[in-house]
Amino acid sequence: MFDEILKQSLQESLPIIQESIAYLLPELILVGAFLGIILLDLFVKKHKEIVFTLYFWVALGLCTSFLLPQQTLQQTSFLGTLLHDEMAFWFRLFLVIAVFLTTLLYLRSSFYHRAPQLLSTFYTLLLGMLIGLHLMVLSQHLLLLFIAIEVVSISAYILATLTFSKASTEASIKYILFGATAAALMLYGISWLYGLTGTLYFSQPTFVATLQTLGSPLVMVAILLTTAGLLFKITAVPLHIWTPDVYQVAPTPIVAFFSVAPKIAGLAVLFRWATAWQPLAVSLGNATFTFQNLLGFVALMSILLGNVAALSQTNVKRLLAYSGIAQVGFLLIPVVALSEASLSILTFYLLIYLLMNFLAFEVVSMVERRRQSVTLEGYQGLGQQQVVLGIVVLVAMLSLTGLPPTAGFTAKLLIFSILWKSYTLSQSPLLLWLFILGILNAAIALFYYLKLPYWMFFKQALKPPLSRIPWYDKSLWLLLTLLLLLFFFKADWLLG
Amino acid sequence: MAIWIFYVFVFIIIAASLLIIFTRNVMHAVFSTMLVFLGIAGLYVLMQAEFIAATQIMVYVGGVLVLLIFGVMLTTRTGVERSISVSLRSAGLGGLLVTVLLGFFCWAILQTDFSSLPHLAASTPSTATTTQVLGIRLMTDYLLPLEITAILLLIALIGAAVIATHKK
Repeated sequence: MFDEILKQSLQESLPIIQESIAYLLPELILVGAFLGIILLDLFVKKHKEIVFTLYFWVALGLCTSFLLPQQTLQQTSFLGTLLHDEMAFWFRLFLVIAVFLTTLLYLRSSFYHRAPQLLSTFYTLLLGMLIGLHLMVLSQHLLLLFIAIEVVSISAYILATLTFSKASTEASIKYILFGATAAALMLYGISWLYGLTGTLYFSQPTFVATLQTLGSPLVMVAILLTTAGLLFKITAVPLHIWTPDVYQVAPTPIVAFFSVAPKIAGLAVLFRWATAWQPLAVSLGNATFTFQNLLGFVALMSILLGNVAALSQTNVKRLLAYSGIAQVGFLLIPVVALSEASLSILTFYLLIYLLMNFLAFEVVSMVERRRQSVTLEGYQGLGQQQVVLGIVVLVAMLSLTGLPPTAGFTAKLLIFSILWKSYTLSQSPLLLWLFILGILNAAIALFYYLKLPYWMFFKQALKPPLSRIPWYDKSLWLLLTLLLLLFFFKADWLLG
Repeated sequence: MAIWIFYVFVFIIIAASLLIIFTRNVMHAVFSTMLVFLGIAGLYVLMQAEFIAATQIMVYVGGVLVLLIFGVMLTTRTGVERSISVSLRSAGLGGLLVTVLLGFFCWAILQTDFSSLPHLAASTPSTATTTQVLGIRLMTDYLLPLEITAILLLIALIGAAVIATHKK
């Protein structure tokens, strides 16, 4: 005996789902490519590098071509589970660019040359991770969001362990244990939110309204726990502890990807939460808890801890890990100081962060391959021998610090201007602290970011000198460098 | 009456969980895990989610646990009985943290007025069986999470294969 109400709801929802499939085409292409590459691995025995790379790039190209028409789309699909909007469009585009840059980096890395048999595994897992990241950006549903985060995490655990050294096993175990704990915390938080509101659609007005009328400290606990899983993925304090260890031993192209892509997706989710939960305020005695305050505190701690810990690093990958923690603090500021301009500023900063971070890791990967070194000593005098390399590193580091004439400066300027505007409106002391310490830390960051150019230009060059750098390496670096300079002068191209 | 059955299951779960944490024998920990899984299945039955209860027993007790036992039996070295060691300092710190957090959570839960939640007051028991509702929901509202879970499992499988077949 089939329930009549159920039957009716089924008849209503099935057509909507069928229509929704068209909106999900970019992701479906990725899923198809993911399944196809597993089959391809069984048949292709020769010319693996060319076949798999071309296959991968064609898949990315197809995904992008179906993504591009979605720029002006404003549409929910799958019964409200996904939201396609302009943010989803840009962030997914950045993710595809990040994956593409990762493959370029991978093919020229020492990791690939030491273990070429892992090529297909690498591409498969990269595709899997990209699917998860895309769904994180689109998701409006806490359960789907959790599963998407798990897809990203599981791919990341495996990718991080691919060097199969003793150190990488240790780091991966740490990563899995922290990741599993963060996931458990998040799931516990989501279960509370579901229990309290009766819905998993976090953008629904009833969701936040129910939490607001309840007004109990439990709401704060639930949100805190739910946010924990995301903070782990974007390497924000206090869930950053795994970052330096994993970055140090994981293959460099994968680290470059880890340092950018999960942050893009994680910030998209945090931005959606912040917009949806903005009205929420839980009073606890004298203090008031809001989602913005929580993120503001996290941003403050990330900037402080990331910068202070980066000062004493001599391993460049570890240094960039702490730099990434500090950068996340800055990336969180547009979400904390939520206003109409936030989204474009966040998008701008993310794109610049993507470019400069990949540029930095390009150099790290090159030095790692040629000098077998990831410490500062390996960079001694490289700038004297290879002037192009020196300039590229200088621009990347100036941009990461936030100094002119690079786009990093524009990004930081925009962030601090929106923060100041938000402070003058709300007079919140937290925002003022964030402003003061943020600027102070931009100065502290100068010390460790400029360490690299300093070693490259002012230290005695090592023997033997570096052999000639091929044109494709140089042209990719120069392209990224020029983009960083271009977006300093023509920032309005992106901000429009 | 139902509330007492609830307490019985909760007691089983908590006692078995404590045993998992404090035992030094891995095998004991594995068998306590079984008790936890069974207790949770009991809670599902009490909440009238009989389908999930059955799944819980089949997947966790039937699948995960057997795998866990295999794993422990294949990796345990003979003669090493006390394979889990805990330092006194970290146990003390952990205990302190847990007590503080537990106190805070309990306080937060006690501060909450659950009877005011609108969706709890509004819900009326459905005449359909859980399995029917679950099936329809999985094909409509939860279609995407279901499909993505398939990808998640596939990725995990690939990862296991890659790590297991790696030769030094």
